[in-house]
Amino acid sequence: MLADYEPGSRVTVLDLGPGCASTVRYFSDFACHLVFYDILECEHLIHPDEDADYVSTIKHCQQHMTLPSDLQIDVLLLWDYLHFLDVKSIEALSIVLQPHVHQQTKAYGFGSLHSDKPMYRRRYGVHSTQELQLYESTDQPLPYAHSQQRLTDAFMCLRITRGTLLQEGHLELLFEAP
Amino acid sequence: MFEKLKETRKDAKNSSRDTPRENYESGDSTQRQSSSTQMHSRSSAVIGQSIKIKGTVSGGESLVIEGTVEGSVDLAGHDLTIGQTGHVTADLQAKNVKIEGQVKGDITGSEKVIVSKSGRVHGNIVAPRVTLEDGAKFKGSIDMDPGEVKPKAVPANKTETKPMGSLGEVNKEAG
Repeated sequence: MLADYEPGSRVTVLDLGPGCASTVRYFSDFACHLVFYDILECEHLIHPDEDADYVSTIKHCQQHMTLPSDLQIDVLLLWDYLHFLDVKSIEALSIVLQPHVHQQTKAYGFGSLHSDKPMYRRRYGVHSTQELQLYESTDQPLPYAHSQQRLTDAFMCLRITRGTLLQEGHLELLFEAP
Repeated sequence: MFEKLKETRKDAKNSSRDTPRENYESGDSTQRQSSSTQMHSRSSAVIGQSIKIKGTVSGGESLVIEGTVEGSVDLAGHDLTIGQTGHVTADLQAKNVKIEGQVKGDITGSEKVIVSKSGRVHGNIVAPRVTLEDGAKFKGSIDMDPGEVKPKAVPANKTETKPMGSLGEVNKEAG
């Protein structure tokens, strides 16, 4: 995915995790704009009000997830963060991200082959076009294990164009603009 | 997509790309006692650990902040280090900026910004080169295509502080 971008070219990246040394190091070869938005600090998405309806969940998400209005994302690093969110929150996130997505936007993340295959906490960074940096790996299962189909239905701002089966029934997913 | 997974090990040596060379050339402070201490010996001005400043700090020489600053810091054309005990709630502007302590605010470096492994930054960074060390905490955005980051005109060759609030004892290492 990243091989499409030549070093020195302009690229805007949104990483849904906290600032990450290897990702900054990798993109320092680019004229880049990196935004680290740690979604785990977005309480309204991680712990949504169960009684809240769809519209108010979106409204809360829009109020609290404040991205620069002119942000146009080329690369969206989702990693495994969608598995911290329930379907309603993924839909809300998708709606909030929609204005920041354009025709060439690509995203990268992980999914589960089946929803009964738990996802485990991993923290990643970009090391090179071919290699990820693994910072943290625990046996702690994530709150959700969304399948490719469920992510397709909920994360509507982008569509999954490629899924690669990994170990333990996990999927590596590439998303592109619909 | 990505074909390999590289695991971060605590005892892993940095790649040659990260090998420390010189204070602002490297983001890694592990091989030196304290890079901010090193800065002291380079005749930088120092805002000591017990000093608190509210207002604008500006000047024409390099500065190490080990104390608390709220407001703004403008050292265009010179180096700024926020030491490990530094606690800054301010927008920062300098030629090279190294963060070893805590900063809440936007940081502009006309050459480079380094967030060390002990550094904690909540704000946006604009600089042609930015280094985030493993272990550094960062929340915000990084713009490494700022165009030409022009330093503001520097007045006198002296660090000037404009305290508006409490000012602790003067650090004897200063100057």
